[in-house]
Amino acid sequence: MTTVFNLLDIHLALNLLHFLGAVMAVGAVIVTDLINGFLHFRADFAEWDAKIAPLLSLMVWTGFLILSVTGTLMFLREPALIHDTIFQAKMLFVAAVFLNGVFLNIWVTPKFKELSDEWEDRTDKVKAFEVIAGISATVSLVGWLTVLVLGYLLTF
Amino acid sequence: MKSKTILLSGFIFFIVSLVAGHPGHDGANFSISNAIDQSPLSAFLLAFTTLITVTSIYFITKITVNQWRTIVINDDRV
Repeated sequence: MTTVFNLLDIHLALNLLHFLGAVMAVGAVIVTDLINGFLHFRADFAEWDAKIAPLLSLMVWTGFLILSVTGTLMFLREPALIHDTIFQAKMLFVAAVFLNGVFLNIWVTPKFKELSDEWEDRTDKVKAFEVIAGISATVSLVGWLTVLVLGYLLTF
Repeated sequence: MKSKTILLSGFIFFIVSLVAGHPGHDGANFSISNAIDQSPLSAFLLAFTTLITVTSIYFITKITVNQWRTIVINDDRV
């Protein structure tokens, strides 16, 4: 019963939801990047990947939504965080992964769907796309993991 | 398609507003003015997190509506 009342504490609830949002988003990012990396070696999976990618993207954006709402509320309770260097660094990386995420959804995912039919033929368009998508995926993975680590360091 | 998009995004926005607008059971202080008093950067940060929230709702709605048949009806002809 004590645990239930502890969970009703807004600070704890926000922290827990923020953590769950991070788990959701980072988990989906890791799976997406692993699948896309795997695609380089198994081109016949392109059509399947094109169908799965939007669902994984949905998970990332849901995680992002939970993170942004809970993060805003947590910040409003501790506005002095704005002066913390680790917090500032974390928010810079959040900005990077956000812009990268928008780019992934607006250009990379639709382009991938368009190219999935010719993926196995390894056309020049496919190769050029792989380079851009690879850079974006790296930014995403490194960025999200850095945000996770910096968020953890903020607890100290 | 368009009506589903509007309906879904409105629903998500409503839920988010309910959650974000909740005062907290211990009377927690969620003062925006206090945050901005700390530093002008806070206003920029709050605008940025609002942008993330709105953009997230937009993409969640767009992907869900586009994938409606796959997610809800288990039809993979999308």
